[in-house]
Amino acid sequence: MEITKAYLQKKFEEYYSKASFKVRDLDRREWAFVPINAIPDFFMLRHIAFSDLNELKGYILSKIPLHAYYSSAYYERPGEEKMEEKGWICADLIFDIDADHIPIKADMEKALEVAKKEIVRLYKILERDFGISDMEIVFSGNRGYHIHVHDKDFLNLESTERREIVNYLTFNRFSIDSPNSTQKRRVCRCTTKLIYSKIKRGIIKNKRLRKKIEINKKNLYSCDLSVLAKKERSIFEEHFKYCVNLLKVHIDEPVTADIHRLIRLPNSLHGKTGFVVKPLSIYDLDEFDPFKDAIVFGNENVKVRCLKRANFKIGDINMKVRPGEKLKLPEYAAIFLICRGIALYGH
Amino acid sequence: MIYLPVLPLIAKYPFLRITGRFLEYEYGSLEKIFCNEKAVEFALRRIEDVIEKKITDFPFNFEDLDWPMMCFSCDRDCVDCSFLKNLNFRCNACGNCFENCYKSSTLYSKFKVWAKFSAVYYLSLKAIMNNLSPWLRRKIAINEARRYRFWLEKEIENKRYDVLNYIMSDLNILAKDNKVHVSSYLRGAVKIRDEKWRLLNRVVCGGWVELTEKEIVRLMEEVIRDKIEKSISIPLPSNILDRVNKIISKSEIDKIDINLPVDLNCFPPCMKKILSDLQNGVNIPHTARFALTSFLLNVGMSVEDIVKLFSSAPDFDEEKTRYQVEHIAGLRGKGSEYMCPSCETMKTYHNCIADCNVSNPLVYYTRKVRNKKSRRFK
Repeated sequence: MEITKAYLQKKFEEYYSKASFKVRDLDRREWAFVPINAIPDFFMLRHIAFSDLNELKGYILSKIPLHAYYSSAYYERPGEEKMEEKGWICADLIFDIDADHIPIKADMEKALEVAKKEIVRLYKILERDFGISDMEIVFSGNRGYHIHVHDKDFLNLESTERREIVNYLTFNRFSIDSPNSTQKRRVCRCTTKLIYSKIKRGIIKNKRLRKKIEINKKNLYSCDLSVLAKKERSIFEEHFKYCVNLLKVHIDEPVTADIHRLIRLPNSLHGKTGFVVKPLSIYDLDEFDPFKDAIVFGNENVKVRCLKRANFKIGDINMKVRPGEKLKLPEYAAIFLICRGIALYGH
Repeated sequence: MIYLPVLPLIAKYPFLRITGRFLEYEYGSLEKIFCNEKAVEFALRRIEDVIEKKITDFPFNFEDLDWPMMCFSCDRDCVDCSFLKNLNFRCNACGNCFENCYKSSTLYSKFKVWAKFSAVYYLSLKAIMNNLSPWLRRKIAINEARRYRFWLEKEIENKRYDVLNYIMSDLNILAKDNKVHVSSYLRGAVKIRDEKWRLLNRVVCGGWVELTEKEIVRLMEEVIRDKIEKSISIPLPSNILDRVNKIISKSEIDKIDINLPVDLNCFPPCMKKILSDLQNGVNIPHTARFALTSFLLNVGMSVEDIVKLFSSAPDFDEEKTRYQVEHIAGLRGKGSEYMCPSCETMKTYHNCIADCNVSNPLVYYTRKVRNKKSRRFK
């Protein structure tokens, strides 16, 4: 165990000595770290404050953290231990899309692919509906993506106000009887298109409805359902519900509502995967494959011995391991297994 | 410093930031301000009115008050002010544009008397409110804000968009045309309990929420109410403080005592559910534990009894539980008791299971208890 820890520490140090960070107003934020030495315990050192980037880098290089976080909030006195004495000023608006929160049955890789689509959808809604342009997307280093909104109009929002944005994105307490709104129109548009395509493909057999949709497309798009007969309306309602679920953005709700949240430092390492917490532009996102592009460690072979049964896929490797198995793996895969707690360093 | 166009504005809407500057210029010190007995008296009267559910009219009649917001000889001081006529949201309401504005002297002195009265009235009201209990403070703020809304609606009828815009800037409400910026919208809208005010039910585009003129004024009312309700500590002279204390002791008598014993039948569905889960040994999430604990403490249950209740939890650790319950009760940590989470918060954490049409589980409880009591009396 000790050797494994020392190995991990060395490797993380190699990364951190070259890493660079860009953090807005870092002197106003609270910092928190999980030290490597504490493994297998997880404890967090928090209420730490830095005055500039050099101080932050110095700290990271001297302590080599397994996980590194900063507060979404900006404080007068970020180093104070009691929350109420920190002097909250404002906070970035944070969104977290976690593959675990998306209700699909799929392996991790597929789930992450879906999470990526969700984050793009979220980004576009934030841009279109909320007029936000100053925001960054970050791969969380494990199972999801974050969006940090820095737009200053949104920093002062209180928790209840942020929760309204959550409700907006998740269609909380929403039905076909809700008042006409931007989101409702989106759902009506989706519903109309869905029904039309189903009719076209012969899944729904209803020629009259097809005609109606063709003639009254605009009305239906803007949620004017008066043209529909009773039976048609019930078809519409049924698909409406389906579309609400389709258009819902699956964000982790409490994260956005929390105005004191600790969030992973972009460009730090995620201690459960060894992946980098990677800032991404919306244009890079399409091509981004976390199992390749978030890898920061090399290819040299490293000896590991496995503790658990596991199935994993990372980089060019796709394999099954069993407890007691001794392997030689590329460094990045070895670190991934060690971070996951599946293997120990050395034979 | 002569503020002609701003005087009627202060007289009507003394919650504006410029009121402070005006008071400082006119009086110079708090003692002198509180010497304006008529205004202080009216503030006390207002509070009594709220308790007794009466309404006393404001001493001036603002109806048909028509005054120029700017006199064109001096608006050069501040470039932004030339936008006041349009729907302007970049004015920072500094008030510099009003300096040295001066027209007829009779009008000036009339407006000045009004402005002084209103400004002192507002300041006294805030100072007095600081000594009152939150529920009374809230009631007063609601009352005041409603009156301002009434006047603001009149401004719309008279097409005084310059006035509306100035007030919006002063309240930091970003607006253009008939749209309000999402951030400003949420500030007021989250406090309005009506489905149509939920962001989800609005037309939102590019960061702007579409509203009707009337809705904009309704939103302003909420922001104004919040501003009035916020406490500022201004020391009151002892003679006024005595009067305030008398009012307080009078109002306390009327309050219904909803204290012990704890009546389980009056619990809201969410708390009943958490309780029954707990007693059935279901492992309930942290947020639900917190909600239940703060709820029980607020309805008057003792720390000891609550700890006992949690003993059926599968992961019960007496020491930890006691520590946490005491923390929520305010016996540890920063020393303030936690409020029970609102229904909105309960919903976010999926702890809400019914639609009770209240804003907080505690409200449900107090209402039920009160109803039960009044039934018993009959």
